[in-house]
Amino acid sequence: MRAALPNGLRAPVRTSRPATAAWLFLAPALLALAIAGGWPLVRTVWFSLTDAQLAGGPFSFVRLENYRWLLTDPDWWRALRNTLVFATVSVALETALGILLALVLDAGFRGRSLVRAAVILPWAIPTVVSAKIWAWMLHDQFGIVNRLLLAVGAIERPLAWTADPALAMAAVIAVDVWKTTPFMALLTLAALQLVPTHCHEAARLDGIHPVRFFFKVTLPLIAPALAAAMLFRFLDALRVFDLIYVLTSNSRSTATIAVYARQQMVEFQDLGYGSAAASLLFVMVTGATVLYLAATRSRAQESET
Amino acid sequence: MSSVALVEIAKSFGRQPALVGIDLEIADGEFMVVVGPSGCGKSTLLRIVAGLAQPDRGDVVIGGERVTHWPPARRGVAMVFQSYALYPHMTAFDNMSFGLEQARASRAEIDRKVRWAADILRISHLLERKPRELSGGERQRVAIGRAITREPGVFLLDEPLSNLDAGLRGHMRAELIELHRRLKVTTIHVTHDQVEAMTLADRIAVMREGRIEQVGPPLSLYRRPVNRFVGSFIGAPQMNFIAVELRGYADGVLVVGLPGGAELRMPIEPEHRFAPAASVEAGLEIGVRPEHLIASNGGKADLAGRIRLVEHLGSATLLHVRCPGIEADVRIQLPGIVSWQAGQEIAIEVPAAQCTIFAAGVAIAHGG
Amino acid sequence: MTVRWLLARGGFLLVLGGFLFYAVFPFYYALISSLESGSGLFEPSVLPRSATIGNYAAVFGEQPFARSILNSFMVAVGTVAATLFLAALAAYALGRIRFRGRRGVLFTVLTISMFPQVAVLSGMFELIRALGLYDTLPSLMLSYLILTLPFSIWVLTAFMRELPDEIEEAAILDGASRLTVLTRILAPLIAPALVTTGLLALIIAWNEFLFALTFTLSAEARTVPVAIALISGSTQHELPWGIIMAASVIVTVPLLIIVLLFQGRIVSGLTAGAIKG
Repeated sequence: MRAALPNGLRAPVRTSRPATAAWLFLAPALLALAIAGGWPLVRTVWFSLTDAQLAGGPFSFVRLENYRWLLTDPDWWRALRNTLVFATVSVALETALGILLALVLDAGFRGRSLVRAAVILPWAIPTVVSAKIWAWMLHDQFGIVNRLLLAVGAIERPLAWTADPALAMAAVIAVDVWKTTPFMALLTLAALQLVPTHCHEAARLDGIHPVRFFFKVTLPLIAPALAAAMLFRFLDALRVFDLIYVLTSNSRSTATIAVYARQQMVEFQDLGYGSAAASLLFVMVTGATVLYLAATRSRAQESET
Repeated sequence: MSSVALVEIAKSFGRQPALVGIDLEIADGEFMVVVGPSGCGKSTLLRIVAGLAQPDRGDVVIGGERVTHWPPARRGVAMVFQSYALYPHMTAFDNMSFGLEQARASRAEIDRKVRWAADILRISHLLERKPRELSGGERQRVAIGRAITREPGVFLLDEPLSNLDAGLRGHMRAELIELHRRLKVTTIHVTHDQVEAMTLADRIAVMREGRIEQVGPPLSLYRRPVNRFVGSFIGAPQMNFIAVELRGYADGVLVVGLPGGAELRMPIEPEHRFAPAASVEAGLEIGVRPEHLIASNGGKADLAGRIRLVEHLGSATLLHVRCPGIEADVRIQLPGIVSWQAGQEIAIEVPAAQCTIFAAGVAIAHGG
Repeated sequence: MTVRWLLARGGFLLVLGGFLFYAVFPFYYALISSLESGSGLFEPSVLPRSATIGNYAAVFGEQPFARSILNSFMVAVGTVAATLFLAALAAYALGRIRFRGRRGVLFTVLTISMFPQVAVLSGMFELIRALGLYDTLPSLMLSYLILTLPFSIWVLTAFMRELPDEIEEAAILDGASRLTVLTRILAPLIAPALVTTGLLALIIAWNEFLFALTFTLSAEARTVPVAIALISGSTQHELPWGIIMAASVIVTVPLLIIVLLFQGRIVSGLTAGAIKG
């Protein structure tokens, strides 16, 4: 080989220390997250302690006044209840239907990928679009749902699905279930595929009934993944806005915290008050996460001992 | 071209020491094989030479320069990884030219060097292929090609043959020897395979638990291992170890008694000549290679036993013999195909000239 | 073929058919509604009766809908580009470099992904006005980063971590800088993951409503979801359903194509984000 040093040896490059390099690579993303997430959140919390208006102008610090008002506002309590009802019921239904759909998809059959595409589509389209399509289908006078239900004699007169306070929440939940069941099904399916096949084979040899096998073996095995997916969906459902805003406008019977908060901020221009509601939603979401983490951690510790 | 010196290199991962005071000098153009069982620290040593890992203490000197804290690319080393680590999305040509391109070599120079390396390795017809379109042996060549295009001063090979099947491995061994003869680049080759070490090395360094046990030319390690570990690690089939008792210890000559009663006399190594007899007696055993034992047909019988198992290797036959008073089977390797059968009684001659005597694991006397 | 087998098979097909009907019927109904003209719309039927493109013409004629589509497209592309760039850099640090604070950063990113959008709404509104971005598309690209960046960082980090060390070390020995290692070696190797996260970010940006509704005002800056939500008729109680359905179909078609082409990637991205995360 030649005596001369290879070209690469010309420039004495000093590699930076790993930690320095890591922070350099992280800096742009962290900066973006700080600008788009961290700072706005801090400002929201700050606004919640003031009487700021959306249009701007001078405002003053009012301490916890907004929160005090919030707790005496029946609309806030209704929004809180709506949020919890919506999140709990729709996540429960989505999980049940999602597991069923996952079991169907897990069984190999021809055209499976086309079916999979068909069930992802509701998830992929804009919520606004799904809300509009369903609003049309649920239309009280010209909706196909009423027409079909009348035709089979399930109802005697058309129902105002989205306007009737007694039905609106059910309608909203039905559309959300339609939209997000695919998500639960896909996550469940991924978890199902981690169940070792020899379990199935052993069970079949032992003559265990498939239903019993599902509850005794499959479900416990996929439970952790399922719990994580449910938390995911629950946190998402707590934040729901567009579906309800489009399907039922500002109807009190369905308005969730996010709808309520935005209404206060934008429509009533009360930035401080709306921010207080939004801040409480943030606290709820964080609280749910912490509870979940604590629960999984204590369970992990139990299983260790 | 560069010599390499490692000076008191130490490295630990957390509390786990990986290397404990390694001193090793590799001459310019030498082919050094570092061999040892997995986890002995040999790969860490190689990564320290490459600059992929930093030693906690000690220095790496390449071509007279202290490069301990230099970045890898500046050290003039090239490495062939165990997994080859070819860039899967690049063609063989791009794999081989990437380093030159990083060094801002001209297009003509890149082209010339890649074709030169491809020519040597006989992969010129594969240059447009991607790694997944190449066989294991071809990938190996591209990996070596990538290393030599940069014309390194030191060539580092990390278990490069371990992913090849046995036939190809033997073939590539010969090619590596050929390549080294042609390029004369200082080479450090790490392996756990003692056959690879014996066939490739100018010198071998045997490592165990972060230390170098012995450094020397292959045959010297084979004939005169400094301790029981080197004796058992180098050579296949493995050396026999037979516990013996001390019969005499005077005038630089050691007399030991085999379990059957026969005696062996051997000159003691100078550095052990004045050790007290009591310390010598502790854990005294002889080491003798299966190929050096002689099946004696009515001749001198140092050991006697019954054949438990006969392994026919074709070119040789390996007998496992159960001898009274010896815990493990004594293995004898005889050339060619022999008529011995399991169950037969056999007498064995132990030639003192081919034995090593270990006291507490340390070689104190060599017959040869 | 036993009776039991037939029952099981029949039950399976019934459940499968039920899901398919549930998933697909609304799209079918939107399509046939969009093709109705005039009064036909008010005689609901599950069978198509006419095929007129009047509603489609109206979407583009009566509304600046083409402009909205272009806006949505630009916002989506801008968001995806920025997301992938920032996330790839961050994922390299988080997935390939050992440093103090790595877990802290990952945890922070996870926390940010849980922020309710409405909780950053007022702060973001103020920021966007201060930056002079109100009623512009960049305001949306900036704000969408909070939706797309956290999960992209997580997914890409998970993929980065799985790449073998030796490939990166080979590149380092070849003299490549960290940036070169990332752009020339690692990024092509995680290209599938980049496609997946890019698609998910694209869908999120294309579909987002709350920020788009709040940070834009004029019809010229509207994105598709807002445009559809705000389509209105002559009176408040008479919504032009045919036009709304036509617009819905138009928006759904590109997503349908993406889902058909990339369903495997989308599924793996969703599950990687949730399970590995």
